[in-house]
Formats: sequence, structure tokens, C-alpha cells
Amino acid sequence: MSNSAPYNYSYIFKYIIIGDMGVGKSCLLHQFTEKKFMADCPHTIGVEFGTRIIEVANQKIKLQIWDTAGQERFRAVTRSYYRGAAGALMVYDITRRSTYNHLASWLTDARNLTNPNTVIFLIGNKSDLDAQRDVTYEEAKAFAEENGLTFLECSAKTGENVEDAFLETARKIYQNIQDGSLDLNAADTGVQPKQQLPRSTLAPGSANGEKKDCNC
Amino acid sequence: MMMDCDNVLDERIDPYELERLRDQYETQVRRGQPSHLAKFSFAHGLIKSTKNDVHQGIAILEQLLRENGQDISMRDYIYYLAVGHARIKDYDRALAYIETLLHAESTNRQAMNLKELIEKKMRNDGLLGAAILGGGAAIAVGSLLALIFAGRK
Ligand SMILES: Nc1nc2c(ncn2[C@@H]2O[C@H](COP(=O)(O)OP(=O)(O)OP(=O)(O)O)[C@@H](O)[C@H]2O)c(=O)[nH]1
Ligand SMILES: [Mg+2]
Repeated sequence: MSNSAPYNYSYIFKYIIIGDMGVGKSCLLHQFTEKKFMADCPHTIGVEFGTRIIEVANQKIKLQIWDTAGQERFRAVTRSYYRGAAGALMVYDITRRSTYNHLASWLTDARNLTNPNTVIFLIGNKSDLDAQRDVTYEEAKAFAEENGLTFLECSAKTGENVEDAFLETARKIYQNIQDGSLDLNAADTGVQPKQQLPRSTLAPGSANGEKKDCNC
Repeated sequence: MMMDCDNVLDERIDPYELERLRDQYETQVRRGQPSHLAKFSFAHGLIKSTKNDVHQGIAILEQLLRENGQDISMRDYIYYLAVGHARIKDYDRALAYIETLLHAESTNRQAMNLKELIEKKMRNDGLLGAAILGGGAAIAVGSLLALIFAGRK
């Protein structure tokens, strides 16, 4: 979770990663930020963070990624992270049909708790396990199209398509900024231009009843 | 407004979200005994709020841990107790809790990241070294482990 120079980018985009437990959300994040696969990964507790600076249209963008716990008991806790997400990566496991069947409910949450401009990207993870496949590409593709989502099958293990999923989401967000459909002055867009990065001197961890403007 | 804070020690819960969790908890209190889940979710929200709230969150989590030592959620309680104590700069206890979790899950990267973050805060506050050598943390870990393993048998 090392950050490079803090002012070295034009925007921050906030992402959330959602989906059933064990589908590989944390592994996808780790593959994206560290380019490594974690074979033995415990269930996430609450939420984990990751950041990486990427480039879209020659602009440096810092992705601030919130990897949520898929276990049912964290649902109340993780709900608070949806608001103000510019991108939502919704993940299922191509080898476990139940994780695909639950997408409708994840999508409902994502739609209800984010804003209309939030880019929702569907990821079918574990594409390296084709022999154990339980959901066809075509079926998921059709679901994605019906719901206006971009879709890719990825593997957090081999790294296949992982970059593309994160980058494509950023490109769409950037495009929404460029064409004006995402209003940077609106609340909870999940996008923050560099000019608006104030108070880096104020340590939010000091947690003493002062104004709560840090609700990321 | 989103802020550029991206770690579990610096983030602030949205006040509306905290109120939502408080409502759920208090509704259950009025009806009788609140569920572990309602207690935990509310405590988690408190831990990410202001200093007084963090204290209340810690109290709830400690009670959950005492009363439910064998709960599958034990690791959640311990993790957020580490977060809570670190946020009020009680670093000794924060380290004790995270060490307890690492004792059970030695390769848990999320726990290792939190430990690093706590140590970084301590260095920033000029505290690293003293606390570890002080032995307070070690004692606390010992008694926590005793508690947990006693609960398991
Ligand atoms: N073969 C294969 N295994 C994977 C892949 N991605 C994740 N896994 C494995 O799947 C298991 C679960 O991965 P996690 O990343 O912890 O899943 P998660 O979605 O974060 O789970 P929660 O934190 O409980 O919500 C781990 O044992 C991983 O090693 C993949 O692309 N291919
Ligand atoms: Mg995870």
C-alpha cells in the first residue's frame, strides 16, 4: 500500500470491489497493485484498501480502491463504502454458479447505493480454471448487456485481463468527466481533481470531534 | 466530499451511515437483546468516528470478545479492536490485538498491513521502541491468548 508522491496525479478515482466471498476480490486487487497472486488468502475483514497510479489520456490518476468483505455478516459494514464510488467492480467466480446467481442482488445494492454515473464493471474471475467452469462466457455477456455493464473474464492468478478491467473502468469515468455527464462539483461522485486536495497537514487520525469532512 | 485518506486508521465514517447503524442497534436494544451482528456493525461505525465514539466502540467490541470467545467473528472483533486502539493512540493495546490476530493467522496480509501502519503512526509520534520495550503489549497479548484458547477448549 505504498503511495508515491502525493501530488503526482490529476485526479483521484474511488473504486469499490464487491461480490460474494471467495470470488477473488482481494486477489484481483493484489494482482493489480502488486502484480502478484496470493494462493492462500484469508477472508477480508470489513474492508481493505489499495492504491495505484495509472495513466489515462496522458493524465495521471490515482485509483483509491476499497476491497469489501463478501461474507454476509459484513453487509451492514460494507454498505457504507458504496457511496461516493466512481467505479464498482462486481465480481463472480466462473466456477461457482451461486456467485453468479447473486449478481442481481449485488447489482441492486450497487445501483441503489452509488450515483447514476458510477461505472459498474462485471468481472468473471478465475478464468484460468476453465475446466471447472460453471458459467459460460456467453451467458454472463448477455447478463452484462441487459444491464448495461462492461464485462470481462479475468484471472487474478495469471493476471489475464486484470489490468484491462481496472483501466477500462477508469477510461469510462474519465470519458464521463470529459463529456460533462459527470459533474465534478456534485457530491459523492467518487472523483476528486487534484486542486481540491486541501488539508494534507491535518492528520485525520487525530479523531477529536472536529468537522467530519473525511467520509471516504 | 471524498478525501485523500485511504487507510483504515485515517478514514472517517459518513455521519449518516453511523446514524443508520446506531438506529438499527437501538431498535434492537428497545426490543430486547441486540444481535451480535447489530452490535458489531454499530461498534465498527463508532470505531471510524470521533474519539468519544471510538471509546464506545471499543467497549462494545471488548464485551463481544469477552462473551463470545469462540465466535467465528472473533477475528473481526480483534482486528477492529486493534484499529480502535490505534486511532486513540493507545498503541500498546493496538499492537497487542494485532499480534494476537497474527498469532492465529501468521500470513494474513491485511493484519500485517495494519501492524505496519500502526508502527508507522508510532514512529510519527516518536513512540516506537518505548512501547515495545515497555512490555505492556506483551502482557496484554499473553492474557488475550489465554482468554481465547480457554474459550476454545
Ligand atoms: N485459480 C484461481 N484461484 C483464485 C483466483 N482468484 C482468487 N483465487 C483463490 O480464491 C480464493 C479466494 O480469493 P480471495 O481474493 O480471498 O476472495 P475474496 O473475494 O476477497 O473473499 P472475501 O474477502 O471473503 O470476500 C483464494 O484461495 C485465492 O487463492 C483466480 O483467478 N484463479
Ligand atoms: Mg477479500
